[in-house]
Order: sequence, then C-alpha cells, then structure tokens
Amino acid sequence: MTRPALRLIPGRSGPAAGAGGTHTAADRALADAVARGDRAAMEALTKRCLPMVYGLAQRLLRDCGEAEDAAQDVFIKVWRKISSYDPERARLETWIGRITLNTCYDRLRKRREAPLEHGEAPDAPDLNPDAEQALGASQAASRVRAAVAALPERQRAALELRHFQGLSQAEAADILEISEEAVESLLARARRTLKTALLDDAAHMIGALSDARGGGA
Amino acid sequence: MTTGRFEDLAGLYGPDLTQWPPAERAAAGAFMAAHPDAARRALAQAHALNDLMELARAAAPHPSLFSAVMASAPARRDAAPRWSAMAAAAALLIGLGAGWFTTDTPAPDDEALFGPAFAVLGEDENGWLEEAVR
Repeated sequence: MTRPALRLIPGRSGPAAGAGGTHTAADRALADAVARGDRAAMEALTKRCLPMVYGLAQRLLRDCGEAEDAAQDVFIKVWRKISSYDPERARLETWIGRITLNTCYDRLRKRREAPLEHGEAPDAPDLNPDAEQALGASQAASRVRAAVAALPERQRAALELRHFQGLSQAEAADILEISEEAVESLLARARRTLKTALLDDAAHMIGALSDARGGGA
Repeated sequence: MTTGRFEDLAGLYGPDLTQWPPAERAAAGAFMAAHPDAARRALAQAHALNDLMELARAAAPHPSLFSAVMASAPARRDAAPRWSAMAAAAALLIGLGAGWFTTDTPAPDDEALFGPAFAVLGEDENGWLEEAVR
C-alpha cells in the first residue's frame, strides 16, 4: 500500500545553515513558544524535526511501526522537557536527536531482553526480498537496504544523520555524543562495509551509473 | 595527494568537495587540476555509491504520524483556566463578603457600655491632663 509522505519543509537545518547566534535566538524563541503551549510553534517544531526523528528511529529499529511509536514517545518527552532545553548548549535538532537516540536504544535494549516470540529474529530488515519483489521494487534496492540494515547500530545512526539527514559532522557528533573524528571513523567503516557487501551487484551498477555521469570507469 | 588518497576521500565524504575536511580541500583541488581523469572517475564512483545508498533512504513519515504527534501536544498553558487560583480567589471574596455583611458593627448604644468605665475618673483626676493641654 502506498501512503502519501510528509515532506521535509524547506529551510530545515543542515550543514549549510547560518550562524550559530541566529540559530540560538531562533531556537530559544521556538522553544519558549512551545513551552507556553503555542500550537503553531509546536506544529513548526514537529514539521522541522519529525523527519529526522522518524528517519533515525527507522534506521535504528528497522521496523516502521515501532519507529512510529518511538517517534510519538520522543515528542511526548519533548513536550514535557522543553522548558529544560538550553539553546546555548545545543541546537533543537541536536537535543531532540539525542532524545530519539536514547528512546531507540531503550527499545532495542528491551527487545534484546525480551524472549523471542515464535523464533522471529527481532532485527530483521524492514522489507524482506519477497515483499520487495511483491511491491515491484528492484532487487538492487532490497540488497542495498539489507546491507545498510546489517550495519552495526552506531554506524547506521551516523550514516542516517550525516548522509540521509544531511546534518553536519559537528551536529552528528553532538547527537551521538562522540568526537567528530569518531563520527568520521563510523562513516568510513559504514561506507567500506557497504562497498564490500554490495560488491557483486555494485560492480556493474556503479560502473553503469558512473558511465552515465561521464566518469568512464 | 595520491590517486589512492583522493579515491579514499571521495569514498568517505562523497563527491561534493564542500563536504570534505577543509584541510584536504586545497590538495584535492590541486589533484583535480593535475589529474582530471582520475579525479573525475573517483568522483563519479562516489556519486554512484551515493545513488546506491539513496535506495536505502528511510521512508518519510506519514501525515497521520504528524497528526498523532500533535494530538499528544499539551494544551496552551496561558489560555487554560487556572482552576486552583480561581477557586482560591472566589473563596477569598466569599469569605470577605460574608464577614462584612454578617458581623455586627458596634451600635451607637454600645458606647454607653464604655461610659461607666471612664466615668469613675473624676474631674480631679483629669485636672492635670487639662492643665497640660492648656
């Protein structure tokens, strides 16, 4: 079943975003408005951060339904704790990203502690190859998804924040609470693992795509 | 910068040089000028890997999730009636009103009760006071 997707709103934060002082003032104003219960501010914050929250939750939990539950949990925590947010210490995305990460880790820990039901593996990729084919998607797509889903949690989180959400190295490092060098290391390992995992298929796909771009590989 | 190093950096940071570490950009630019074919190949492969990775992009959130999140948002705090404060104010007003209208104020006749208390003071005892006043 195809569902309409909530689009990213233009102007969300990213690596090309402006000066920190402007962000701090804007984040403070938005957080204050949310703390007062301003409905428009809450909508703006949700539109701004929900794609990142849901993307990170999907990447870590590898289950769309659970990712939706986790995203709702995250925003309940945001509404409750917004008065404690300090814009001098972190951007709103960073603060909410950390809440998301902790919420997902809690769920993953509970999942590991819970006994397996019917022998089902808890960390299965969100789309299995059969479902993928039934949906008419390409085999390559399912292989790439499976390869990304098979990466260790921290590498998946780093990849989601840097590559898919477009956060800066510093923002990703803040959310993951590690150094920028450690983020770089996670990304390097992730990309190398992906190249290795996809080598058989990637050889001709990358070659074809590269030729199409004029690389002449 | 060697071809291997350029390929590593392209694989790690992608085809957009603005995303590369600032310390590497100048050397990368020099490598591109000196070895345009090798640079183009490495960047094209990085583009292709990015394109492959795009296949694994997580689905965007459904609008119903946005609605569910907004449904969990608390009501506006300054618009909501503060029932406890309003109840305290009402109790205070009722208390003041009841006190004002139900308590008897001294009637003029009651002044007679104070009269005997001072009547025992004779003029002699008050004489010193009257002199002091003069």
